[in-house]
Amino acid sequence: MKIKFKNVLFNVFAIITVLAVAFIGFNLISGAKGYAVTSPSMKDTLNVGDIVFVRDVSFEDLQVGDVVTVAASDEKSFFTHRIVGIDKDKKTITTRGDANGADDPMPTDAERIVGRMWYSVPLLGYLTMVLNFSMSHDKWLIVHVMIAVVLVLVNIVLPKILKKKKRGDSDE
Amino acid sequence: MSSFRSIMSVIMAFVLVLCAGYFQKIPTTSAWFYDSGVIDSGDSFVFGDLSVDTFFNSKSEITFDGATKFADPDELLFDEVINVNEILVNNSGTIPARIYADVKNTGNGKGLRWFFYDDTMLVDGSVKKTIASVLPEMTDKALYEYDFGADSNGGKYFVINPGEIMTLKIATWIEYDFVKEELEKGGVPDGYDVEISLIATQDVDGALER
Repeated sequence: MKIKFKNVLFNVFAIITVLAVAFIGFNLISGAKGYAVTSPSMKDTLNVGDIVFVRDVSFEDLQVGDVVTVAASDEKSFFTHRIVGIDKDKKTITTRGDANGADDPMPTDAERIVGRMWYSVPLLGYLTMVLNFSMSHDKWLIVHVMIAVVLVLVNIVLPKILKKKKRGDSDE
Repeated sequence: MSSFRSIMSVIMAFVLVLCAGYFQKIPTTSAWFYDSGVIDSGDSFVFGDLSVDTFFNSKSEITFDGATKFADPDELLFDEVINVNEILVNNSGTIPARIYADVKNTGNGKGLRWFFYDDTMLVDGSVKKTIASVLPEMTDKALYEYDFGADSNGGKYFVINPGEIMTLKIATWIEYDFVKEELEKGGVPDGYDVEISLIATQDVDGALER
């Protein structure tokens, strides 16, 4: 039985697509929000390049030892650290990075807590970092279209070229 | 079969691009806090909540009136020949911060030394007396450890509380022994290319990475 290159390519392409859709669908349905880890303050628990997925949690359910993602004051940036203290009266938590020498300097209001860590995926965060690296969203739209074109070309045109070349070689 | 494959390839390419868009939209999470705006122009350094590396950077050419010896007790003109840069530092964020300094000699000049201080440290209005009061001994090694820390990743810092504004000063000078030969030949050191940086970190040990 001869394995055709174009079949392998198509199948790999299909498997990647199905896995990606399933993974994203799972997170969207379960309400998990992802954050790409860019610094080593939670080393061993979360490493640079991981994606940490968090889910909503009520303040009452939080416990010391939970890892939470917290929004900074501008609500556009986030940090993910472990809870080392909870003040139920003031509704604040004290956090600390596992690898940091001290607690974070300010208690965090409950309303800034985005969610509690659910699970993490190693290395996947590099994809986010690469996709976000110093490029505007407008430019990335173009890049995305180019990626799509390349994928289509690789999957449709490349096997044809290879087939043609093979024929040519056998004719000679 | 071939047309099915072609159609599916196009659909899958479109879906994968959407997936790439999902990963692109994922925000990042980091160790510390973040810049809420850094303005570092002229001689002032205004920063908000911190990232690990919040820098003030200033490059200039400094011309010294002469060389000097900070360790020599008989050198009485030390304060006359040093150069002092003043930088206004404003913490507009919500957490206390440490400010460290770094001075680099980016040109060919030799023997550049520096000392980081503020006016509250001054002894009798003299930078030399101030240096003598904070160093355990008047040696190059002690000065280096004051500036950079024993492990080269620390050194003298000032804590700036939220909303606080401070004027920090950096004295620079040329150590005579390093330019002695040029001076004896009659050459006076030209301007020194100096890069002064201030680094803001959280007010905890280990936050600074030089």
